[in-house]
Amino acid sequence: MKSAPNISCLRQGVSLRDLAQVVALRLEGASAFALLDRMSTAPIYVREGQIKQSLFLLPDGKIFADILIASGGGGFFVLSEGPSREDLLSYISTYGGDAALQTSIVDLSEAYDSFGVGGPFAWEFVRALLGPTVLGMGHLTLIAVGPERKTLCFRTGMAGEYGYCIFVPKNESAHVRETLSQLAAQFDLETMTQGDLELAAVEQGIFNISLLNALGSLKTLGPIELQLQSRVGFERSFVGAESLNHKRLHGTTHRTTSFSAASLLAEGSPILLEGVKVGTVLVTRQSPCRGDVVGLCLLEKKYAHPGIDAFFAHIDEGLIQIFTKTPPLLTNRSLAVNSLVHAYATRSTANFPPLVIE
Amino acid sequence: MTMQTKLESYLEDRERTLAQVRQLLIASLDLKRPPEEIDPDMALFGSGLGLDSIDAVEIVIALETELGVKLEENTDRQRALRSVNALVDVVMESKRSQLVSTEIAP
Amino acid sequence: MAAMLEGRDGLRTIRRFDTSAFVSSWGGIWPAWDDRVQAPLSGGSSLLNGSLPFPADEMALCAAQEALSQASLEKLDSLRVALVLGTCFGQGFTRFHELTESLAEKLGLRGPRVTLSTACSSSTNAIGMARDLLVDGSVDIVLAGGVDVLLQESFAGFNAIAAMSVAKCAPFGEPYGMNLAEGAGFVVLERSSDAADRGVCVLGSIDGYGLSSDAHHETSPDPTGVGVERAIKAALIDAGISESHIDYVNAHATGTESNDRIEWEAIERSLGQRSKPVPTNGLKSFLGHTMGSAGVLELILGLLCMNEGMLPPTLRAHPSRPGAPGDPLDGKNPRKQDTRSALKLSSGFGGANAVLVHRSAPAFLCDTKEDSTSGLHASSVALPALVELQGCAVVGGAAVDAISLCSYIDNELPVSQTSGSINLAAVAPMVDPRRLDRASLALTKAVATGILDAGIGMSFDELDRVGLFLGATRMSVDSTTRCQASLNRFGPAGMSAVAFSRMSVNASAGACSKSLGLRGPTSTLSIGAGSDLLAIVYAARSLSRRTDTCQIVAAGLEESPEDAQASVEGFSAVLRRLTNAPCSGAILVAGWGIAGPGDLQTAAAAALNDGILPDSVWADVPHAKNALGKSMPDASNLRCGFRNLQKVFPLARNATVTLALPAAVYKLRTKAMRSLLLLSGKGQSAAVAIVLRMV
Repeated sequence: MKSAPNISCLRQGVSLRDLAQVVALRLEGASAFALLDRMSTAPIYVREGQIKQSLFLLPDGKIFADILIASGGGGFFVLSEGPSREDLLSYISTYGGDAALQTSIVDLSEAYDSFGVGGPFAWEFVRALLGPTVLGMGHLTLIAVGPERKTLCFRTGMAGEYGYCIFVPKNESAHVRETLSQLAAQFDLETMTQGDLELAAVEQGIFNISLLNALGSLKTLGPIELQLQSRVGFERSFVGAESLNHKRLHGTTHRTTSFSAASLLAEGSPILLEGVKVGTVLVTRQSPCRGDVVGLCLLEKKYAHPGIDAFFAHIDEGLIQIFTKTPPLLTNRSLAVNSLVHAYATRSTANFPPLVIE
Repeated sequence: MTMQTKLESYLEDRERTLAQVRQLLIASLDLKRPPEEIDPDMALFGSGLGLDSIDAVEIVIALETELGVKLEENTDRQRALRSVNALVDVVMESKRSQLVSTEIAP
Repeated sequence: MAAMLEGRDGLRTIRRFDTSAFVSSWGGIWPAWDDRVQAPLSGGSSLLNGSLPFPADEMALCAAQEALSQASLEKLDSLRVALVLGTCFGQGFTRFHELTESLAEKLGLRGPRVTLSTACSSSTNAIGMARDLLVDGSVDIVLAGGVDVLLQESFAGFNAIAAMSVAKCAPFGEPYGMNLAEGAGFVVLERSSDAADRGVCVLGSIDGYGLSSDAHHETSPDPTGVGVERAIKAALIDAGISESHIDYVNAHATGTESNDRIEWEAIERSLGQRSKPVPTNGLKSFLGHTMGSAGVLELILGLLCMNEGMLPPTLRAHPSRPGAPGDPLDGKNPRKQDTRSALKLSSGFGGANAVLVHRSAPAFLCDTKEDSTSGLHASSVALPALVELQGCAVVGGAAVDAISLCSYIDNELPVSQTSGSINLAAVAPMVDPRRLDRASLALTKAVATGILDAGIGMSFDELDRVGLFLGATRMSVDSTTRCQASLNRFGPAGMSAVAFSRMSVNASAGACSKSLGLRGPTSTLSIGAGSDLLAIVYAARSLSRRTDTCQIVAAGLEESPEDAQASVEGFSAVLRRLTNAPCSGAILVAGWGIAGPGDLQTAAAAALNDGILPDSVWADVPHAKNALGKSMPDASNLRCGFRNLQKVFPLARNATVTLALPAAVYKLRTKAMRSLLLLSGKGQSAAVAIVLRMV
């Protein structure tokens, strides 16, 4: 498969990602905080150089955008996935009120080129590209590097591995691209496709908004069913808070659960316990690293637990067994890598734990 | 035991342990959240709860003192502390092996 | 010293308490206490009682007497002798300024007593502050140092945060980890001209110091090392020398993975690229980590070697770990090498960094012969600058609007102090309150409110260089209770890591600095009653004489533990060094003074440095009028009279005077008064005074 080498780069080496799906904005002004505060589901606890995961919702509680909010240089950055640039700006002006009018909002793509890097040795690659200061970065932090400190490096992680989103000012971009292509061969660099990213998300058991938006009727699932409550401060007021709290008070009936199976399954396939439907398949993907299929399903809360092998689903040839699991569905090599000791070039000599432990 | 009863019994254990782990996290980490707002697959470090090294130690100590579960080596600890469900897995495993050892003892 | 020459360290297996529950059994123990045992922790034993067989003042007394006898002080006026003591845990984690007061009484010292509690950098900061007291002429002699006792509770705490080494510690080497130890050490400091007049033998000179705050994490140092770098640079500026003069670094070097590498990187950056790396050692390889006394003991050890033309080694630095210094003075025996100026580095929990610049006796005497002036490095005594009070705030039960507060004070009527929950959202919405205990929340709110009152924004750039000096007399109630509870329930292996990480008096200052991004100089001091006012004095003095920063927030905290709904008060005063002439309408901290306990006259006289009577005097003691009457005959005719603030804040114990600050500022701004003397004389440690004046 074409995707196999790319995903294995993410899981064992270094992979590249284009950030075309990401809309990056810079917000400045005295009202910037207030503006973000009314849209963000998460409380904006960010010190200088810190990044927080959040969501933007629609008034009906549906997820509009997968958001990262970062504080830096007296203002904020918003990295958004899901909506187009136009839709995002329209959302901000619709729901931002006066605060939106008083805040300076700039799309970073006007002045920056950007790309993402991910994988257990992504730190080594980024150090070669941008210098040693990146090694001191904690997870979900942001620093400015480069000759004029204008290159932005966000350490955001990528599906459980080391991951960085890098924004280079256009006038320095050529130089960085050159260095990048020189390093590419050294690190066997491959570029992840959208499909790779979705697979990585399912393997990791993490939220991916394009997967959600691709669902048919089930794309109305909200943060509670999707296990995104860590991004929500329920006592806050944000767009969609009322609907969300209404849902919370009435109780939700289902929750997502990760699973593995021998074959791909159609979206919407019922999940059966002794012939009775207890849930629905949301998405499955073939996992080259694991050698089987990984997936996400929606189950009645009573059954939404890992470690169950009693469920079945239909494929053309009959019923197949599905196995609910605690994500991630493979081990993240990044956790075993020590920047003081390991290097990409000598990775085969290191005794890393296997990617699949079962 | 039929499959159904075995499953029911497992689910009961799971819910009970999940409740215990949620309580443990809330108490030891000053989380101002009700238990049902702590998703079972919620990550503990990095994203999710965004805990740090001191919180990690606090959890390990609380696991031992409150639930009698000792986390040994580094990889053991790393895996156990990935998410709430990972902690539940470890606690249930520990209870199972305690049960087994009491069965084996004369 | 003899042991050091032979390469023998002081680390032994601990027999004082049962170490089987811990990863390590190694510690540095005072042989005089070898026959004493600490009872196993049991439910109901209090932190204080458990420490009684090991009185910190006993160990401190022993060291202090040795130091004083060497300095021949018999004929001196004890009112002009100060004591500055650094300690992490005081006596039983509960008595801090009381410990210092007890020691001073036993030694017959009657000048001001100050307790510094910035965790492991306490005694280093103490020596720096002692130097300030001498430079200012507040006193003539300072006994400065530190003490801390090794107890199973502290052992349990460091075990809980996984900091300890399974073997003898090996700074810059292997294995990783620290050894806990105990100790007491003192140096007697005097202005060199006075020492010369008295013909006393000099053991070295303290030429300057610097402080900084990491603002990063409760127990781990900032991985960028910027904090340590700033403290080094501030120390060099204070000493008036360039980094090229430093030819030896006596590092903090605990041996832990997080500390040593970062510390060396910061040292290298601060001292610049050299063809041969500057010799840097870790004396904790000999002493273990003696906590509050680490700075002074390691300084003494270093100086004694330097005076013999040698540099002490770092034991077990080989095999070295990645990121170790180029020259860690690895070996068993001292190396023959002459040095001129050296650095002593210390870093503590809460991110408090302190650096001393010092010279050996031979280097000092040599330089003095060449430099025929007073002997103090002339360039370090900068022309004093004016200090402005930009803003202030009071939070907690005693917080009342300024106008009402004026009325209470005018009539000396009591403000009813209530307690309630503290919410940061209004003043600091980007601060995550999780893991901030009640004291830290109150302090953060007080400081943030003060910063807003001063009209300063809360952006990174605006706050990065701002310092925080805290007057606090105890560890936070929440954390002490939680620690005690975890020990009682689970024994030593079950000590709460979160609670222990906050078991230092400066923990709130560290948490506040981290929340707001304050990376300027930081210190936490106590004199019991009046600690809040002393924080303002220390901040004003630092801004007036030093140039490493131009803004410091002075703050204070008071918690009363007895109530179930423990009340907490916090105050802050934002001070700024003025580089130009003050605008009209500015309020200046026009003078300040510190003196021995109860000595209001001397403190007031120092504050009223131009001799002009203030319009009013507000004090925390009823007899201020009588006390001042002797030195200020016209005192009974003050235009706006005396006010006894204890009547206005009847429940206040340690922080009283600063609760009135918003009223003081209001009266000055509305020209009801032009100047005001604030006095604290209630405490057993020191009397403190400041004068606020409207321009």
